Amino acid sequence: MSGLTLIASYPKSGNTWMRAFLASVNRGGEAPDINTDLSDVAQLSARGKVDAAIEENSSDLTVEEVARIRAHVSRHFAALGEAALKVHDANLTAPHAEEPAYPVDVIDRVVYIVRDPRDVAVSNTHHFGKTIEDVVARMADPNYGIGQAQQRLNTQVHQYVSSWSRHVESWLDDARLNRLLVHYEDMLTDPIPTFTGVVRFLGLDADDGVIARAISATSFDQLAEQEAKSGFRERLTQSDAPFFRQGRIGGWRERLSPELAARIETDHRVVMQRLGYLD
Amino acid sequence: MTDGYLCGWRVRSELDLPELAPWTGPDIAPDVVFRFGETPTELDDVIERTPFVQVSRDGTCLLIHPGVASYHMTGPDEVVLSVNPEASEAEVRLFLLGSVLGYLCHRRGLFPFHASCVSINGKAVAFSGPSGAGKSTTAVSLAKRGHPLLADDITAIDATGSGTPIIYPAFPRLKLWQDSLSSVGIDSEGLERNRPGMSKFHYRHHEEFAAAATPLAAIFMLQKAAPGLDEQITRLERPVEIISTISSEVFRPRVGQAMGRRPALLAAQARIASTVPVYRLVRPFDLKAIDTWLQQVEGIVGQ
Repeated sequence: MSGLTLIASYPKSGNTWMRAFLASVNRGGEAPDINTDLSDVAQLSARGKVDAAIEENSSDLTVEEVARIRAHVSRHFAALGEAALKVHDANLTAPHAEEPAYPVDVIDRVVYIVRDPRDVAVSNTHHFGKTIEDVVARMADPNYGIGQAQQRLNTQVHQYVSSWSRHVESWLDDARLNRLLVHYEDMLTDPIPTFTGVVRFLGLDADDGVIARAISATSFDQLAEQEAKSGFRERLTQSDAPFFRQGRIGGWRERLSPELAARIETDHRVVMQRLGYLD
Repeated sequence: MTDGYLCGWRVRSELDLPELAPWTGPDIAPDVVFRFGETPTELDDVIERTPFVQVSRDGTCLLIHPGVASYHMTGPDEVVLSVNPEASEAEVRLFLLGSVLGYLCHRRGLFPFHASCVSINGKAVAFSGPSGAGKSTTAVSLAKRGHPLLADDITAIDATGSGTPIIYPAFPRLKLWQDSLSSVGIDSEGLERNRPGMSKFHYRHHEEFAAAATPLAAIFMLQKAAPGLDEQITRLERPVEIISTISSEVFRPRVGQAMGRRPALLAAQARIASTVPVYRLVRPFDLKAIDTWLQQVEGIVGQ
């Protein structure tokens, strides 16, 4: 296999859960340690990775300079045969860049995880410690990015995410990609066929028993319990809740005002209908 | 014009370098000269390349930061700079005293270690680890506790002798983000910005800087704990683990290897591993209790 395997999603759509599952599969279905083993699916937006690829301190670079070198970082690690990677970038060329952070010629295959944007909004509110109004506005902002250092060192470099709709379309509509679409909701309600599909798509060597054990070892309750006991390094400083908070479907019905729910449905109507989140 | 001390070398620089301590050693010819001049855009016979640096087979290096400056290390004793007039002075010095200093260390036979370094009772103590682990914050906090600062991002080690490896101090300047400055009670007002618009500042702490070779007494590999967990300091015992840990934090390793330094780097790592205690310091997620674990560090080094 040549090229990178990407696990891509808008933030808080189930990416970390998928990484935990894959880490468990790699361990024959044993429970992974969420603070060490999730690095099986690494992130090329992590500063250490970027710095190693460019032999420069990315924290001394401007956002524009970082945008221009992301594709180089991807090519560097593709050449080294890097395993699966977690990605929040849109499959779009960021402002100031010349090509997407993951150029199509270095991508071998992509698992794209999608989740009802109304639940994404609630989850992002807790994760980023922002107001729900801010989050809903960001989800409609075509220029939205994460990892932009402000007052302190961000352990991730800037990633161009764009709006929720553009993010989804950028990954789903690129006909050059070998891509598997996974719904977060199916991971929760129909885990066996959903995760089995992922394992087969990635060409991993795991039988049904390993897959079943990995699913139960990385159930929401298991991950939340581990976080409660030993913390989770990937939780953001500004977060106001555990990383593994609820993981439910339709939690937005209690948490989103009718006005904000309607705003999301208006902003993202076309893509929500396409994915079956709206009639 | 600066006539200064940098990693044991006498440096004469046409670019003012307020970071450096003045040269107070014997009146020798400069070891390294930084001068303004024309720089090429492309080197011949390039054997290593990133978006910023080219290394030629003959060991010369060219670092280009288009908005800032080009730095042409023509040999072990000269760097030619061509500065973008739009650039701030701080950012021109930033890459010269960053990546280019790393190239000079490789070229001149020092081991550049990605670490900050302070002197505790005359013994050099290095703090290494990935970006965000807290190297500079740890160093500035120890400086605040009265320990002279020896280096920030690059600790230059001479591990070629038969005894304890020696640190050649770089300069007493730290790059610190606003939150780190706030945590140690330093006002960022009046400090130079690392890059224009960036909330990362250059803090100079010239008090007690000792431009003198200092034995390396300990290395702490920093790691940030998950929120809510206490600090944990463990000494690494297995040589394989120690060497791989040190090797992961060589500064600009590919440039060094392109210069043919791989055997020397391996030898330096082996010597450090066999003579210097290496600890893993998992530090708490937030910095509120930093003095607690700094006292432990002082205790360990003082033994």
